[in-house]
Amino acid sequence: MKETVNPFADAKPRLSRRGREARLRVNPEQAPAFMPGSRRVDSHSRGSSIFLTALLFLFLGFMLIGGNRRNPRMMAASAVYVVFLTVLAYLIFRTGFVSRYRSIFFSAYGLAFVLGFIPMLLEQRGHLALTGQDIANLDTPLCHLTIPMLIVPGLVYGVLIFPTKLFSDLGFFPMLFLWLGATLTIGKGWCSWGCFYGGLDEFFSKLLPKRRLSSRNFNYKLRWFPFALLAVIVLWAFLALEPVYCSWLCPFKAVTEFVKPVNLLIWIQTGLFIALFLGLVVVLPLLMKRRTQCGLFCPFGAFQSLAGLVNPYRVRVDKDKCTQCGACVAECPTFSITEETLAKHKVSISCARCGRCMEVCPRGAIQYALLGVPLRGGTETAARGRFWKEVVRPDSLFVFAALLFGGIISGGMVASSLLRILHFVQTGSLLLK
Amino acid sequence: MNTIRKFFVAARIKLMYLIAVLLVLLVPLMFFAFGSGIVEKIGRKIPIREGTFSATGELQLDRGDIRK
Ligand code: SF4
Ligand code: SF4
Ligand code: SF4
Repeated sequence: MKETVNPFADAKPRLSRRGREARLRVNPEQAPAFMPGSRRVDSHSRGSSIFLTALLFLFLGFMLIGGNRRNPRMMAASAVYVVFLTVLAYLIFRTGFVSRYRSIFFSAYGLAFVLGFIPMLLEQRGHLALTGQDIANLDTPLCHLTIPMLIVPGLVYGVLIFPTKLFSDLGFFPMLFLWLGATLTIGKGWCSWGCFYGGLDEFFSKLLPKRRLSSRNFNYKLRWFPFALLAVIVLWAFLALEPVYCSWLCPFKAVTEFVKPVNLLIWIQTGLFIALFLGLVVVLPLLMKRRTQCGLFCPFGAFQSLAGLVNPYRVRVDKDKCTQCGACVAECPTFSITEETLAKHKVSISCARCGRCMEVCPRGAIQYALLGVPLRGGTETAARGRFWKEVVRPDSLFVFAALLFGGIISGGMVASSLLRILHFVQTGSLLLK
Repeated sequence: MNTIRKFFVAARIKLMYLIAVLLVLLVPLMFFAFGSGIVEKIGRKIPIREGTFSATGELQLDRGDIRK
């Protein structure tokens, strides 16, 4: 019989085996106190899970289904997506396995983005590669990755150095306000719940059931590279008055749009985009089962780590429970937990609030927390049965806000991709027009 | 002294929970605001303009525009 491979098998709580390599390195003597079958994650009671899920369903239904009432096909596709999100939300709250089910949503979002964006460009412009005329017409959609490069020249010269319009759908101000809203409401959680590019990284990191490249000897100092790259591109963009990351380094140009290769320089740039995409978004995540592009390269991720500090949610390690076993070190997709941070009972500033460490910790020692609020002592049992206390727990509030944000921002993209798939099955083309 | 400290700690915790609930409500509000034209209203008050680009993608900057 043919064996089926579950791309999300990695999310299963095979804790002691998954964290073995890091645990041996950190504290070989200490055996985790995880008892198979016992509950370590912060699950919710049935009542509060249903309440939170129903509330989310209402919000999402109102925003996504109601928002498309003039377009019956989009309305139907949005309804399918809302049901999908509602099921995932229930599973997240009820089981407490945040990352396992978030990962399904986030990967679907990333894939829907690629499936929707390229046909959309073809419909709008008639061609994919950006021409000189498109640039001169400011016909380039802007994405959030450019924001750090636009700030300094914007302040000094009062001009956008990216060839986009100020107020078009994918123009500067809508993206700026979206980023501001994301930063306020979910902070660095953007990188696990809101960014379509991150969904691709996540998808490939979950695809193989087993890790092929060990991170036993991995140099965790490399997690500071995105911060260094951020400083370089901000300065370089200011001096060159050009969004240099977009011209030279963005791995996602390989799956979005790129400048028409009319000379050798543009061919080199295009080659770089493809090599970075294949290396950092496909091959390394497949082999390491980590989000290597997000954790080790993306300068916007570093920018968001800093900007996201305005958001009050944090991921914290309970020093009374943590035995320094290291299971979380080997599993954090963004390389945000190291021996050094663990010794201080902290996670690194680059933590993307994905929830994976909470699933693998055998002691339930890591939690979503609110700044200035003491950690909860007795994990789920302390609040169990106390409905409102479960509903307003920091993890409930964060996951609710993040799912709501991620659901709304991904809604149009996923719904239109669903319609495109249907169209493809019927006509053989992904283009709707 | 201890009572005052306890009071402030309790007040801080309540405030943080209040902020957290408000942030949840801010999510749909923000997306509503997008449809209401507020982005354009605020954006017009921010002194930034679109660039002028040559067909090769170079920004044509009028150096006289550099802010004092
Ligand atoms: S690190 Fe960059 S690509 Fe990854 S999720 Fe964050 S913003 Fe997106
Ligand atoms: S520290 Fe935990 S929550 Fe943060 S990115 Fe790593 S695994 Fe995810
Ligand atoms: S937080 Fe949990 S998984 Fe990480 S070292 Fe401590 S006990 Fe182990």
